Amino acid sequence: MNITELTKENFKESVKEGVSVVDFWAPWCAPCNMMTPILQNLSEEATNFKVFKVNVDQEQELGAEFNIMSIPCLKIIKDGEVKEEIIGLTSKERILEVINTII
Amino acid sequence: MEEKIFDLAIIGFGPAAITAGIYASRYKLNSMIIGKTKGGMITTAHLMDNYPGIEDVSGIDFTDKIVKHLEKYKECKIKEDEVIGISEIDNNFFISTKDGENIKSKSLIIATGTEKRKANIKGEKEFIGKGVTYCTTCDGFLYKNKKVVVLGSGDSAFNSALYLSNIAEKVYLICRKCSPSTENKNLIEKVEENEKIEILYETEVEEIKGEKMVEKIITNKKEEIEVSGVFIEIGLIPQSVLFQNLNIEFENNFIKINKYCETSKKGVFAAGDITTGFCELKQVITAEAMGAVSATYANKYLKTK
Ligand SMILES: Cc1cc2nc3c(=O)[nH]c(=O)nc-3n(C[C@H](O)[C@H](O)[C@H](O)COP(=O)(O)OP(=O)(O)OC[C@H]3O[C@@H](n4cnc5c(N)ncnc54)[C@H](O)[C@@H]3O)c2cc1C
Repeated sequence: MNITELTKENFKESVKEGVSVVDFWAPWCAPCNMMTPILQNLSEEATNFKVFKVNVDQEQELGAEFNIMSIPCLKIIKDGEVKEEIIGLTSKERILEVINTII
Repeated sequence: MEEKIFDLAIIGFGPAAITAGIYASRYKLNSMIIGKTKGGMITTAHLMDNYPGIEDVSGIDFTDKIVKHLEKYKECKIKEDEVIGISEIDNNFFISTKDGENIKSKSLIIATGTEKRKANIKGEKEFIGKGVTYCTTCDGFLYKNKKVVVLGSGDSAFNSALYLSNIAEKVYLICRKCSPSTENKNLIEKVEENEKIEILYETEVEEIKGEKMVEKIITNKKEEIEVSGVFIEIGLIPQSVLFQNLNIEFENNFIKINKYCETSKKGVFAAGDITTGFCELKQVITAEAMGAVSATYANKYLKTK
């Protein structure tokens, strides 16, 4: 199953409850493309958190709202509030480590 | 895992390694590519237009093409992983990876390329991802109608400035030297004529400042320039530290090779941007040429082994 892409219409509602990992990305960014299989894998195994993507080219308002100045950028959100961020290409282990500090 | 010994291990996954993999497959060598990022440095190129036969291609599309070509051959295994240790015992090489695998091989091609150099400016590290970036093609568009600065005086700095001029409100190009260090006259002309770009020669950035995000830079002339983005394009460093214990020769941390892409150690070859080879021209076409040569001479070496 593909990871759900969020838009400004459904963003707030989607991350309102629980822990979410949101990947801000764009199609022409090579490291972002490399993140895709990692996130895919992560979302398939996720039981106590959700994984979403935001295409910052299409969703420029969301990009601006979250101060995205470098991609890929992961925001780890709990109950609608950004708790942590990871900038740049990273590993599944690292993401899980960060999630575990929040859950 | 069963104890298996490869004929050839190729470290890296850029154009040099991929070409070596294709040639090794055609020689029917039992080989493996172990590399961190698929496609290497060229994936960050917005546009490549100096590769004969393929006009105006993005780095990502080009990578897709060469990786597909490599995958056509089943002889060369591909492992997307980072090499973290390497040693030699009795002319065989033992490679350990981040994922915890151990790979054994009779010969070696090193094609680990280079990485972007950090500037070591006050504030640089703190603002990574908050205005400081090393990838213009990834992040450029996030600076629409903003003011940005590019650091560097070479080819990639001039290219970055030009690319950003289509997006940003204003681009400052800050060069430590007193003139461009690229030979590309066509590029220099385009940058100099561009109304949005202001070139500041003989200038250095001393500090990057801001509250949460980058807001301004301070130069060695104590000038303050308001910018939201700092693009660092000040050169490349060879990824060769890992190979220090193989007893091969280096020149300024680049691996020394002869015209057969042989290093000073038997069975160890090197190709691409990591080497001193091919008149210092660091391009896809030369990296690929070295990939081809290194696989050819690795094949010859294996026959004598
Ligand atoms: C923005 C930009 C634009 C460019 N435009 C052009 C152009 O238009 N035309 C052109 O010809 N060239 C261009 N170049 C140059 C070109 O990208 C390089 O010359 C070429 O990629 C060199 O290939 P390589 O295989 O030697 O090394 P790289 O492409 O640097 O590949 C090195 C590989 O080794 C891997 N690696 C490193 N360390 C390890 C490790 N420890 N374990 C496993 N793997 C490792 C890396 O992940 C990578 O896969 C451009 C470069 C940049 C940055």
